Amino acid sequence: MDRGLLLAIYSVLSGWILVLGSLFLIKVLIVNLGTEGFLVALTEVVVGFLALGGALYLWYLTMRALFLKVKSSGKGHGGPGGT
Amino acid sequence: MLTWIFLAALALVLSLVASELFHRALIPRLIERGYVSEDVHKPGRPKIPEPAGPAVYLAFAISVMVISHLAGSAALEGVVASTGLAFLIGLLDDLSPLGPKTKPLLLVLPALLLAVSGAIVPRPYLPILGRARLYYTYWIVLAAMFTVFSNGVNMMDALNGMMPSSVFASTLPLVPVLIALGSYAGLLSLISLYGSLIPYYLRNRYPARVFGGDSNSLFVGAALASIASISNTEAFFAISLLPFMVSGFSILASIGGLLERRDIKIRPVVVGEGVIRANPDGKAPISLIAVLTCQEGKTEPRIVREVVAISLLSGILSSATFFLLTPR
Repeated sequence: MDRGLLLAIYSVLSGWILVLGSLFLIKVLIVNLGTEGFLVALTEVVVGFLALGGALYLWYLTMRALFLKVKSSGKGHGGPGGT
Repeated sequence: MLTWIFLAALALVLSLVASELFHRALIPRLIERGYVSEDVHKPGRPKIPEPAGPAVYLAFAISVMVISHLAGSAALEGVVASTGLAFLIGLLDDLSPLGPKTKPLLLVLPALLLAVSGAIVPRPYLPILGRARLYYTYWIVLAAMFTVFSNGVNMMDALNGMMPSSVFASTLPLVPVLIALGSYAGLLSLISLYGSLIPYYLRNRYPARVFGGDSNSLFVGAALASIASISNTEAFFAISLLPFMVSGFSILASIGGLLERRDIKIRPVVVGEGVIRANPDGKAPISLIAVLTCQEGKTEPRIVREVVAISLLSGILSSATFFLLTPR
């Protein structure tokens, strides 16, 4: 199995863990803050989304670093561009 | 139970036959009128008829409307309406390209249409948390989901057969989830989507004889978002479509904002002698295809096979998350 495919599998597995991690954080907030009131509920959702957003950005930085490392060690060649 | 099995079989046959007939009627007309696009990944860049979206959407709509009449499900009418609007936005983009910021904004409208149709109860099942009550915040998530799913599917429509085959692979493991929840409206819509996509897949797989266009990909994305929201399985569809979102998010993050595919100056991959490789330029955007080809160049069918394998993995992860990690 080449490292490109391994990196793609890693991206999916780490994305899955991030989603579960964010939901676990929301569960911790719900247990500690309760669910009564609009502001409390909104805070929990906002904190959950912020955590997911922050984690996604960290995920992207890690992915980019790994991608560039594998690419620079691979057999890149020129040619017409595609998607 | 027997009634639902009969309706599922009817949905599959109806959508499949209608899609096949519409494809046979549409493709010669597209060629005759010069609606063709270059297949940039092939030597000689052959011209391929596009868009096949109308054939796929009409077959889906006919099947879902018949099933809605027989099953008496109002939720299905909402699905036809919202996916129809997404299809029209895509068709508009096929005929005259919309701006990179206008398209995501317009894709909020199908979500609004589904919301006002009364087809949604804002109580999604969430992994770890169980069934949530999101009466205030759900609608923002719904609008975001339509935009993210539609653009994710659109980004996956890059190689021959890649979009339909990865949609099959990532969502088939969710069929047991829909059955376990008793969400037959969602299940019948998903089966109609499969039926209408099969004739398209047979023509779009390598070497492609037709392209779907944005009318197809935006409709498919909106259909998946609609099915997820009427069955309260938003989180599970999001997990199963992770490869779609990995691709979409990586491109967005690496180009630093919303851009049309044709407006991206440095392409994520380069093509030479039938082999696709990640662009060696360090500033090139990251896409799923670039990730798969970052170590070595690969042929188009091999990349599609690998994307399908990753999509199946995320679908299985999603199904396992529902059955093992979701309180019900």
